[in-house]
Amino acid sequence: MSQGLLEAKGICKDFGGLRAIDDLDFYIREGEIFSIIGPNGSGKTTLFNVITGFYPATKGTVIFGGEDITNLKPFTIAQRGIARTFQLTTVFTRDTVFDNLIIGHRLRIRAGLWGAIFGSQRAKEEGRKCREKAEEVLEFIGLAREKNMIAGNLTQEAQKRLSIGMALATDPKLLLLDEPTGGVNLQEISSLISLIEKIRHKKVTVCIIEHKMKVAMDIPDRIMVLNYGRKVTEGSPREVSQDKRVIEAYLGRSHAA
Amino acid sequence: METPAKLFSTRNLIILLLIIFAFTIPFYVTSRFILHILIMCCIWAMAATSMNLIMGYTGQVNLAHGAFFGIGAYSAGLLILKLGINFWPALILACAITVFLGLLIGLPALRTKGSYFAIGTMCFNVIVTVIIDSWEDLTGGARGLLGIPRPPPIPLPFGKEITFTSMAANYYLILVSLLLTILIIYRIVHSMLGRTFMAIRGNEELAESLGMSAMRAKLLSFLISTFFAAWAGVLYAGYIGFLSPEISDYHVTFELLIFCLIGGLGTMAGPLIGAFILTVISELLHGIAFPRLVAYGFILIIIMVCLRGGITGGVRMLWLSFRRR
Repeated sequence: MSQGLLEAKGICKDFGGLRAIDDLDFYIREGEIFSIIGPNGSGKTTLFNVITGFYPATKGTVIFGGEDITNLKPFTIAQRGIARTFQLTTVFTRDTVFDNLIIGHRLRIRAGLWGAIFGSQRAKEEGRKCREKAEEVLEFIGLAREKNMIAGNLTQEAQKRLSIGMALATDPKLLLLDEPTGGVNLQEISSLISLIEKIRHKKVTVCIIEHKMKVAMDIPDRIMVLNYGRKVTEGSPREVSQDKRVIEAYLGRSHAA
Repeated sequence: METPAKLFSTRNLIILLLIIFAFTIPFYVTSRFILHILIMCCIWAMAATSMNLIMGYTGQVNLAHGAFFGIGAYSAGLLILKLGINFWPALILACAITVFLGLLIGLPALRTKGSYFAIGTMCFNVIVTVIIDSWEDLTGGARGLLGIPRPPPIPLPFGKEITFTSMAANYYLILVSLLLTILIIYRIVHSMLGRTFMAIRGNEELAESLGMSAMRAKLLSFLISTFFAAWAGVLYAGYIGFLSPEISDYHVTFELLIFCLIGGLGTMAGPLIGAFILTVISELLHGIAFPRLVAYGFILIIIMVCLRGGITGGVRMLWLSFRRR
């Protein structure tokens, strides 16, 4: 019984005595935008870290495209086709925007030692492939004018774009975005939202962790609400926003009435 | 791929002139002392350049580099003296032995990060020196390894041969080795593999999330730098003809580190500039009882406070501000 591109079954994650994720089941369908929301400390980022192999799962399995990817190394999972961004915007701050994107495609080439030393035809071909990919993504994320700028000097919003671009340069099937609009002011959010919409049209499945209601409610097809590492509810934005348990989780019991 | 205009840029012209200059030096410099200093400069520049790959470009502070230099030198010395192997195969074997030891050390050491890696490799360096010092049956201990012969002649067609009896010939051998080291490391740094190394330096976690195996990249960089350290060590053994445990000491590591830092870490020219300037100064000050490491310490503090990019970084800053004007 396969429901989706990514399926998680019975995921648990303990930190010492603290259970950050508690027996979580969910799936992401191919081609949809899936959103994970929940109060601070509800285990959203931990879940991303478990899926992408940065934290080993205490229990449970993650299945991606029909294959078990539980507890594989982060780089292997990236090679399988799951790309991610980090909550604190992460780019190679000392390199240019273009160099950042070139390295994003590194995992799709071999980049061997002999090719590097002897300048083989293959190495040249690989370099060209990475630059072409970088050009394509540069255009897509709308940073063409910033191509040769040092990434650390970009605005927060542009760095967010760049980090999404780097993830896209890996040719992912599934893109995990951890607060793509965090630390970005309200005017700039709409441009990031339209970027995420554009990604959907590229046939890339997207999963977003979000706090801002505008982002969390407007873009996704389905939403999962977490609280204390457990699933509160799951459904369309409309269903979720009217769910009593969600209001309770965010605002406390007295408001739920 | 490069256009002619780019090929004849000012920078390339300067490099070409420097290489020609380096090759013509023995024609007008006959002083054995000066040639000796230049040979030492080249050997240290080789070791520093290779250290720069793992430290400057991959961001792993490897404080065992002197140990690998020493292991290379001792392996070659022992192979030649105890087993009677010819210098040239011994060169290759010594590099292979050192890279193998590098693999044994690199696998556990590279699992640690940052200062832990630095401390771990430094401990290994100390251990190596202690072993060389106390394994008297094999290494001769503190008495050292005496009488390593100069490289034997390489036969050429038509009954001619390249001999390594003169200073000039030794100079050429070591200069060519240095240039090869620089060329290979330059090519690595400017390839996708080099970009991988620099991505690890920039942010290991991000690099992993982009599908790069940090362990694999770090280990490869570590082994390449180990290989060239060993090569430099073998040349040292063949040239000086005498080895003592001090050659693998952590002081050597720190000297190489200082060459890189003063010249400019993570630049191609940096380790060369650092190695040449400091080797010349220290060889000239040999006669004077001058605490060299104390002086290095002061220079290092000044560089760290005022000029983080080293000499190369300083020149670059000057050049940029000059162009902006």
